[in-house]
Amino acid sequence: MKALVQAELLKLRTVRLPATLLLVTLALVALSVCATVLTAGRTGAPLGAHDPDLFRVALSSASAGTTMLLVLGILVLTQEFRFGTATPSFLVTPRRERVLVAKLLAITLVGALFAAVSVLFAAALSVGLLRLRGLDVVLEGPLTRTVLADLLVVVLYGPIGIAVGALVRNQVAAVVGALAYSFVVENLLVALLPDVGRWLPGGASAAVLQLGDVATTRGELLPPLGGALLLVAYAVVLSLVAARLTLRRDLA
Amino acid sequence: MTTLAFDGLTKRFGATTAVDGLTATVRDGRVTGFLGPNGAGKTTTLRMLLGLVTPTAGTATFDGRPYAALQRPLQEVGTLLEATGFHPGRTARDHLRVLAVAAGLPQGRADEVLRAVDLAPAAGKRVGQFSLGMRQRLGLAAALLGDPPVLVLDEPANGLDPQGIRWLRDTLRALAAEGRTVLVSSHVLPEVEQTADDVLVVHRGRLVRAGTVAELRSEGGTRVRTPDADRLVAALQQAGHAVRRDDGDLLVGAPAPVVGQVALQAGVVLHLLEEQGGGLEEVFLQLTADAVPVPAPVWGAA
Repeated sequence: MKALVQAELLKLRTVRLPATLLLVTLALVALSVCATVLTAGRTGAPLGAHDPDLFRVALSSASAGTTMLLVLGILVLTQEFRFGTATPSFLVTPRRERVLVAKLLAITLVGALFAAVSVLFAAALSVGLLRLRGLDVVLEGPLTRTVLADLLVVVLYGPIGIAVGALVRNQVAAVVGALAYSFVVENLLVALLPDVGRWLPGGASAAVLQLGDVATTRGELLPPLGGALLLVAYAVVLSLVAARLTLRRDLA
Repeated sequence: MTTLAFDGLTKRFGATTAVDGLTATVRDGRVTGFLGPNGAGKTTTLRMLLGLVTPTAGTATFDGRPYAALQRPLQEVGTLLEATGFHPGRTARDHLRVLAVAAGLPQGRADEVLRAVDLAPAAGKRVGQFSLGMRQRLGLAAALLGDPPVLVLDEPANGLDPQGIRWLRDTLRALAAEGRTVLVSSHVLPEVEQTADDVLVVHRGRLVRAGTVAELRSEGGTRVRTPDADRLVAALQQAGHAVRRDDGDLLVGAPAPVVGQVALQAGVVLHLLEEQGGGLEEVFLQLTADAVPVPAPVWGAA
């Protein structure tokens, strides 16, 4: 399995996609940090300019990369079918579920890298922007917890992407569907139907992040650990269903 | 050494039967041509052999084991399928390194096999820029990665220019000379005729002929010229061989040595004794012609 994970990591290192998605991730993180820090204290903004939580909330922008990890996971799997590399992959490793597990592990490691870079970037940018506005950097509140929650959420979206890709297999359908879902559908569901929303991946990650008043649903979320377990369950259940249903199909 | 066996192998896609009860053996240490027109079921058969397509019925095995049961597949069976299976943005060397790592082989094997297929100068190029012929070479390099005793090659000559086809022929000969078992499919007979020892001919998913190239070649019949035709015809017919008169000569449905033996025993002088050239191709065309399902050995149709 170690060799298979190494092979999956080498696959990722030898194409341009991960670097591109990392740049997009950092752009999203930057947007989110800017939105939080630059609007603080202005009319309609959720946080005041001197809110002790400001730095912590800005720091949690590091979780903006979840969607890109989801997309990376989907592409990692669907490209194998689009380019036909699934054939050599399964010739080397005829037990297809082993390839799936290797991909899940590999993207978890990549997700950790994305998350770590995002946290450092979000921290540096937040401090920079706060100083620029002449505001204090308040290192208060559960900062470590926020950083860990950011890391966890970003890391868990990669395996979910792999599982979704394995289930759908059609690259365009999977990516477009995932983007439409995570940017539009899920936000609506979490806002309008909190009873459903808290059980969705978005609700679960909001539960892990626990940003208090900033979260889209108030007091409706699962406990942080529950949210984390729910995200893991999504990845595991979707992977099992894919391993049973779609991965066994003929490669004709 | 490994023997490949197909036993009642069948694949149905809906109402279509792509492969229909194929039973055959591929002997070890020999080159076996897997022949048939396009759509005969060759690719589906090979993909079932390699565990990529699940058979509706029957088995395909390597020394009794299905592909999925091989411990180190790349080191046991080298595979070249149609020239897809490459990420266009990945370089040739990286494509092979990925396979090597997954198979537990040293990454240095990538450059070794690229040299073996004359692709070393393009090692750092992205596969998206490769011609079809270069992809075929890269595919063959991947097949050689694990230095396997068995090679399964699906239409390896596709997309190769005449030099490439000659190169492929030489390469296959060299690989067979090293004692490897080679199963190579083709819809163009001359591509494998000079390389193969044995042939399996499939048509519409069924095996219509299996034998050595020499056997099938002699089925083109033997042309005989003799001043004493009547006596030779009688002797040959008595020995159970089909005979037909053709422009003053006789065409006999038997290999030349057999005809010579009969003539000697009948005391008949021969002026010409010649196996029909192009016999194999004729046999192939007849075996796979739509009008002829499973013909008896043909002879002298020229």
